Amino acid sequence: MTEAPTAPALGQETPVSAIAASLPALWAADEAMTKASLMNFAVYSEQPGSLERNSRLIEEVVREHACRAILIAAQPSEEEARVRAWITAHCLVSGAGGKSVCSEQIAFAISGRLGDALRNVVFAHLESDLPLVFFWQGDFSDRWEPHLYRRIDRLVVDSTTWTNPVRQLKRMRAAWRDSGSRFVVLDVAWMRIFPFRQALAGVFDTALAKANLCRLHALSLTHAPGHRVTAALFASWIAYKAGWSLEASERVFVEEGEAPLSRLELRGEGDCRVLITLEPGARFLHATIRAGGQEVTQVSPAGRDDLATLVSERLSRGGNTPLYFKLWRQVAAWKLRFAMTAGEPAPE
Amino acid sequence: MLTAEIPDNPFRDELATRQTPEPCTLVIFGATGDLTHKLLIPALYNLALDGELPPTLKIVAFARRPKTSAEIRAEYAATNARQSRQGHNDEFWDGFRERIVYHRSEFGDPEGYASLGRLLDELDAARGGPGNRLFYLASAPDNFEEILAHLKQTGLNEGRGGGWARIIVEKPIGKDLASAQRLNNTVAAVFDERNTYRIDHYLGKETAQNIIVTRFANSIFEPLWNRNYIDHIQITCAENFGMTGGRGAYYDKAGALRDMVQNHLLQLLSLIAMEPPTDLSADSVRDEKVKALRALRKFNSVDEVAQNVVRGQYLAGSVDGQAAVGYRDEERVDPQSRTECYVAMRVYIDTWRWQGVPFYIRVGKQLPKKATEISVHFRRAPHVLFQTLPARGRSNVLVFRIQPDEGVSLRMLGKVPGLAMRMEPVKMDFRYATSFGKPSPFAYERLLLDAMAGDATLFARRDEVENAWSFIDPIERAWHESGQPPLMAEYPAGSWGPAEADELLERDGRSWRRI
Repeated sequence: MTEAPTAPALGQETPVSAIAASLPALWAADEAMTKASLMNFAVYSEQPGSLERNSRLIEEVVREHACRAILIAAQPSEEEARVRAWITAHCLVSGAGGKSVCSEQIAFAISGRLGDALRNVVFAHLESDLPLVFFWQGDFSDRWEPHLYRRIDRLVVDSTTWTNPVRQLKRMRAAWRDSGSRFVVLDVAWMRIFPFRQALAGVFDTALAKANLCRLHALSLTHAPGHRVTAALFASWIAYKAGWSLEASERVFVEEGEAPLSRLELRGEGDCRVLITLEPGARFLHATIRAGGQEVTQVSPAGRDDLATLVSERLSRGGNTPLYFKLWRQVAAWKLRFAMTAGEPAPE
Repeated sequence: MLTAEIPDNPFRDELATRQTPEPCTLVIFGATGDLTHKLLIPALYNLALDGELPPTLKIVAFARRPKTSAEIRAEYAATNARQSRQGHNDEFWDGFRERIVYHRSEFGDPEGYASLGRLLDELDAARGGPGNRLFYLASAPDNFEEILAHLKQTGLNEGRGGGWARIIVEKPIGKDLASAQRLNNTVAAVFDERNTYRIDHYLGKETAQNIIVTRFANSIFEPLWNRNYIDHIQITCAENFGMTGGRGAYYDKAGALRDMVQNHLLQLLSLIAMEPPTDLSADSVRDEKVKALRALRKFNSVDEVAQNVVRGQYLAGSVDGQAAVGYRDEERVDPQSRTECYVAMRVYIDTWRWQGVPFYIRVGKQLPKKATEISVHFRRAPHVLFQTLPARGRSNVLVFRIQPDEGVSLRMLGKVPGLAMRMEPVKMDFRYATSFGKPSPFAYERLLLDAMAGDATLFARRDEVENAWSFIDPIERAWHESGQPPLMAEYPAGSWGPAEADELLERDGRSWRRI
């Protein structure tokens, strides 16, 4: 059987054919509610329990990104071919005037071999004229097909959840090319790097760091188990920006701690060293540049690591898809060993 | 190993979608004043918290009162806790406060500037790289000329080691054209125009910037943006308070015309009326704005002022359920004052685009609500089919709400459901708070970053300021130098202004938009 969500977060169960007629009823009940929408945000998952989880995600995301949310949970292995749907609205009181500002959510549970149902339920329930942002959670499956991805404007993924990152990346890049580079890729893992990127940029605003950049050549990154993708992307970005080839002997990845990234160290000749650290539970990164007996320290925001914040932040920033793929080519060339969790080898 | 040439800071690329602010030292003159406490320090703190501020930025608080750095930091912490947009985090503040150094000196003491120079050199040396200095005149305007003269004498108006030196000048930029020119000349003798940033915080507001986007990024508006389709434009800045916080002393010398119209409202007018710039560079945008200001039709006689401008003072009344005293009974206001706290005017812009289109401007204290907005009233459609229906509310109105509740709305006509042919105005409403949950940065945050990045687009250029004064001066002269000045109208506090302001529009067959 398809998972049968009963969580109130999903709202009222509605026949698929009646969704269009039922949505206005959400608004008729309360005149103080204002519907807001800047995009269609579809979230697809084949993981059990994803609808409730993603409904909570949407509840947070709409605080900054009002949208028509379309959640899809697929269970292709189920025997019974069936589609169930629920509608609800996520509301928050806006600062000005105290009105309730609400975003609509339609949730679908698709079971069995209803391959076409995915694209159909998405396309049939889009808010017209607004962009389609598609969050594909986990590995790409057979449902990731041209009729779907050619109509996506922005694709959100979290590459840390991929069982085989390089293989998934190839599949995504092939789709991107096939779509005529139509969609922009927004990787949540890339957002996890952002505070460290910002801190590193701050370090190299100092003359001391700038003058010694050419003396730096070795990199060590400490990351949590399961976040080698995050660390690899960051290392690849640093190498690309600094013009380093970063040979195997010049890069070290250490699995330790709980933060996706907790420590970056760049080492060079003599005492030349850049260190950025995040202490467990800290809200700020501490950066130090030391060279020629001098030392400069800086503090910068560490950001938050919950998925809702990362997705919200990712949606707020543009994406440079060609650069992203370029960094991944570098990562693939390093032939790193990725593991989903500590000690678990990635399947080939 | 290194395989490619390194740009300046390779890691800065792509982190921001705007020009990057450069590492520098910010020197604030008037560092113990309200502006610094309530706006500048919270703006800098929030920028740092967002990771937008150059990490090596230092802040030198320059003021006359004897204090230590520790004392001023503690005072700033207290006000920041009340004013900060994102709250106050002690851990982050502990790092942030290290950027702040207090420098005590009289504004007229040469030694104070010599020691400031030595301090800046030390800070530059500690940071490394070029000595970029950003000076902020946040003191009383009476001190501007003295400060500028000393900056020049001590050579602080030049950057060090290939760096730059810039100055931010707070309003008021003069009190008439002559004093504005004098101040501009003084500034120009010390800083190039390209290094001079005249701040008008209205331009840092999200909706003010959105005027340019709405007009020029949407193809549906610009074809209609002219005398053929627009009937008139109204610009309103209403405030529901009077002389709070001892403001009467300053205000009674300035008045609404100088305090609000000359700068904020004429800036908004120029954004609404300007021609499309060739690009979004600072000078392209400001070239077009200044053309609009230059084309403002000036009032050449006392009669013309009387016909087109209404000034007023509020009498005792009631605002927000509280009794309110009249303007002349306000604290630190001259009981015989002839200063206006309300202005309404009809102005014309003599260009091909705007010939014959009146712009109605009104600004006032102790009005029923706080609201700043621009409404563009389109001509009525030739409703030959609907001639028998009431005319009221039949035109389309596009409204830019500058504050509060920033947004844009469009009024259009719709058929009321039913068997009869009845039309009613309906409103399509875009609200920033609804569509974009994230609060906008405060205007000062944006403007401070722009100044550090060398982007002067949202700052007033010298010719903008002087053209605005050229328009304002004849009105001030008619009011204060003529033998038969136009009358000072009155209105009860809490009302929408004097009856004479309503009559100004009624004579043209129009009325003020209900806000």
